Amino acid sequence: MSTTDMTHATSPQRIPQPRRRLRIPGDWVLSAILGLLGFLTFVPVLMLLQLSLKSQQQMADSMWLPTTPFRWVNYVKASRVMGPYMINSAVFVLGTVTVSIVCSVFTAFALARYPFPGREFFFMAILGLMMIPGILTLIPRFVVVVNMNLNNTYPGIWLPMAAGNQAFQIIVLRTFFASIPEEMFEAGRLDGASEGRMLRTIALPLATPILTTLIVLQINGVYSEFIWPIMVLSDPTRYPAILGVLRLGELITQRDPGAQYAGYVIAGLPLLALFALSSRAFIRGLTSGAIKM
Amino acid sequence: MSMFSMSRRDLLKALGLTAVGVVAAACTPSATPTTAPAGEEPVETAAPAEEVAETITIQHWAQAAEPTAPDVELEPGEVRKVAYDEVAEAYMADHPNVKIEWYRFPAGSNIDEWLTARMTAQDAPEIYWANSESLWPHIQKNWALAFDSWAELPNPYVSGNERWFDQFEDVAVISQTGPDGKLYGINMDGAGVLTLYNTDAFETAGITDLPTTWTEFIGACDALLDAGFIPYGATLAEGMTFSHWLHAHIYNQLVWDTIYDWDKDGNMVITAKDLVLSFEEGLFPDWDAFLQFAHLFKELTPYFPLGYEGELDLPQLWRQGNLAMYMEGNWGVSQLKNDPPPHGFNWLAFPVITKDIWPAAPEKVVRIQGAWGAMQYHVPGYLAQTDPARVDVIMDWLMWSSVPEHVGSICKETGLVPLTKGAEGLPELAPFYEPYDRAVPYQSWNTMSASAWNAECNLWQQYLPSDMTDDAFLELAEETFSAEVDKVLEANPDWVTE
Amino acid sequence: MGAVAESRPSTESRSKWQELVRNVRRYWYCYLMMSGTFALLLAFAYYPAFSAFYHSFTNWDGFRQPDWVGIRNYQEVFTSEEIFGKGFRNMFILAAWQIFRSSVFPLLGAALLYRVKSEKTAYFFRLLFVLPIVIPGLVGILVWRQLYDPNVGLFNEILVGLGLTRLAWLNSPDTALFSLIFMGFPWIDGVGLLIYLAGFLAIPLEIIEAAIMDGAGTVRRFFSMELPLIIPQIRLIVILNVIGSFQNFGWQLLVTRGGPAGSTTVPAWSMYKAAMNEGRYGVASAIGVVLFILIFALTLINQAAIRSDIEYEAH
Repeated sequence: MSTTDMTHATSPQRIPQPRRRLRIPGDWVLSAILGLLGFLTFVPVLMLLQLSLKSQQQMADSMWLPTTPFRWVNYVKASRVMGPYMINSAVFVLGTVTVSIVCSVFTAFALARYPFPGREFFFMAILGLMMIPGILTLIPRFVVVVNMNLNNTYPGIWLPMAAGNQAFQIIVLRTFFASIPEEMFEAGRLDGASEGRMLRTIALPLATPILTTLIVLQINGVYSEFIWPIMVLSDPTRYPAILGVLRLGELITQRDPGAQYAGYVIAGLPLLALFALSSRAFIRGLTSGAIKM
Repeated sequence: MSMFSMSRRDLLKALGLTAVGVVAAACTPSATPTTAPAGEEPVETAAPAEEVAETITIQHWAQAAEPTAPDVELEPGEVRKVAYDEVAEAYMADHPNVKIEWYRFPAGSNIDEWLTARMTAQDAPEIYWANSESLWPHIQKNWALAFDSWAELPNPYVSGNERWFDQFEDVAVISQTGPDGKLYGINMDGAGVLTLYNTDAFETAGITDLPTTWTEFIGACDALLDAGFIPYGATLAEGMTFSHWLHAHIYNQLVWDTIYDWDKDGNMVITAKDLVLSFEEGLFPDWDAFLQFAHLFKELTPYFPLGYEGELDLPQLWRQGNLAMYMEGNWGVSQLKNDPPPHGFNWLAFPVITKDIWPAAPEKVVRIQGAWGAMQYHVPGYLAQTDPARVDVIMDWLMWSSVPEHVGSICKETGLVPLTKGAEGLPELAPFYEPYDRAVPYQSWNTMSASAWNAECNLWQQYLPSDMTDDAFLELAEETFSAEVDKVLEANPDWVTE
Repeated sequence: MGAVAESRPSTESRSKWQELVRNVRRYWYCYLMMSGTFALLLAFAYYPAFSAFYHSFTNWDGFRQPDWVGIRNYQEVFTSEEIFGKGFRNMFILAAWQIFRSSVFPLLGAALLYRVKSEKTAYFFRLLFVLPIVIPGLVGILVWRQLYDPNVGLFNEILVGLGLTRLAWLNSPDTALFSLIFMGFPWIDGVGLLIYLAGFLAIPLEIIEAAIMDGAGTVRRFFSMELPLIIPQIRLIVILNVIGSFQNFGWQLLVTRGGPAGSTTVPAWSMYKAAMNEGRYGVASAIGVVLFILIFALTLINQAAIRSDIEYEAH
């Protein structure tokens, strides 16, 4: 595999057009089909937005069509409730993602590039973990956390969640690292660089797109996780944003589903911002072709 | 490249490690503290306890009685709840070294899960809420502290009171009694269930006299159906209270005379243990009555909304004016006050089953009314060992809370029915003060276990929309119930050997 | 594919054991690199898993010291109509559907997207499909549940408008499973779409050009050329969904609670109920162990079945 193969994977390609045949304006048909499918995929987002601007009576009157006046106060209410929790979410996300990525990068690199004894065994062990249903280990995992006195602490959130994310990341990163041609490392070794240095200066820069993708996906996952924080945190002021959203459904004496939907939108905004900033790298990571088995 | 090129040696290694791991896991004890036998309390000091200078913080999960959180934005017409705050502030003024904090339960989470986590980590709030129906599993695990030594003391904040627990109605005290006869919590208010109905709909349907008997009730439903309404709200999904309440209302009327035969320990409360022992003796359930209940249930089904076998949002349907009536608890009153629906409403008692339908019927009024309010409080059992001095402060605070004026002010806000003698609730709850003949001592299979409740919901989901024969139904019901009893016995093998 | 071959010990003058030790010494730093991951996994993944396995033979309630009950929990799992009879049936149906749905529809979407000629249009559509990732899946499920509401939902309003009778959708045993399956139409998951698209884009131009020169039409190109070359992507998505679909109970938790009448219940939901709702961790653990064995076996079969002989060296 040559280096040229690596570069073409990063620039999107288009199919060359057949020259000798009469073409129907293919793009129109394609666009129509894709447009319809895309719209249908997007409908829940539209529904969410228009529901978030309704009062309960407006929902009772007409659920599916936008109703005026728009109830912007839903957003005010939701943001008041969720504000303090957003910071907690940020802390959770940062800690978990950092621990998780650091560990999985090292492990994946070792598994990919070095023929050490027991390599296949370790990899299988990691893969096997993914097959264990999460609910099964929930309580025993909590017991471990309590025994280590990590309940109601930040590490009590970071470490177990990072552990849960390892398997997928290691699988993907291992495939990626294994696909880096040996020649790149040969040059490094000739210069006398240590293995660690090569990881840092050669492998990591190449892995940036795929790492971005993994980080974005993981942030999404950690951010929406609520079962584990409820168990570990006994202090409600430390709850993440997603619990704030759930609270909106119960908090006020009357049910306010509109405000709850507004809460979901607000909860999605940081993700949206993250996504907007990183979309190029995120998409490039997914389309680098490294995600496969 | 194959990922699965595991040699036989690797497989053996894996199995070996697994075995070691399992043995290691089996040998380590679980993180539970050594469970003291239930009912061991330390010798208490005279109340109110004089404390050392350090501040004691008491976290109190007050459930529906909790004051509105300061960060919450109110709806127009909504009133900020402050009653319990005022009670707490008065207490803190008198006891400067005590701080009462409101613990806000994480909404959307499962209470059993949450309790397990908190009790394992021993970081639960000092006072927590739990429904009296879940009391016995909690007692088993020493999650609830016994109140007996404090219950006997006079309440210093209520003049003329010689014994604290004399302040409460019988129903409230009975509800907190465990299988061993001890008191495992305090219960200051209660709840009732009546049928909420749309008065405008009744008028449109031409119903002038409110139905009191079963036959009249069916007649009213027919009139409503003809007028284009959905007469009666029902939802059978697991966890929904409808079938639970219907079971209570109907079945209790059918077994009126024999129901206390099931009360094996004679404490006027029918507990899970009572049911299990009665089952072993063939006394419970009375399958003839159960079959009759099933028939009556089925008679109602034409009046249910579409999709009643699954989950439905009955309050929303009712607010839209499509649904004419559904069973609601008195806790809905404050919402009805603050955000009135666009139609008139009132409360209706459950119909009486007459002798022509069931010869043994007593023709009396049953009510679901009992100790299922917000102010059912328990104290974590582990505090008896870890922090006995704190328990005295907690009890003192609860004594202050239970002063009738205080309970009254809280109930006026929450709309709950006070079970503390001398406390007054909302005038809108007048229908709940109407006399009834018996508050049901038993509601449904839920009394036995959560699993049994799920099984019962499932049973109705299968039976009602189908044309199962009576024999097939009874067979299924007996099989299901017997399996549930086995599950309960598996967790409590000592019940039948006593 | 790089340095993946495992070094085999030479059996000439050294014993295998010495060779092993030599390799361990040589690659000592590998073990160090993996230590972070394995420390985490040991504490928070393996140990809890073994603990759960042990508890599947007990009557643990999550709190008190458990008693050993042998295989009784497993007996219950396999004789229970709900867990085994209805649960397994529904699980296989739903899992088969999920595996099919997540591998086929995003693939078709990617194939269509791949053929779009204009850069800008392609980018726009990519964004359209990928943006919904940002909204938690929970929200989509809740919106669909509202759509299906028998009394106020959009679908029934449409049926009534067309003069047809209303359906109970998720609320009737006859239609619940089907309604669940239909949720999420058109089932084009943004992440899957991009993964497949990546596979397509990695196919070298020369091959495509050659095929076009030979007169191969769009459809034929898809089946005989593009499809075989993205088998690695398909394999990953299938494996992840095999693993995931058998463990899923989100729909049951948020939408149907396994009902009505067990028409949508799956073993993973019974496991959740037993653990969280009923406090019977022994049984829950037993169900979990059974699921694990099932998933493991299926993954092995899956790996053996999907071979890619024509796998071109593309990534």
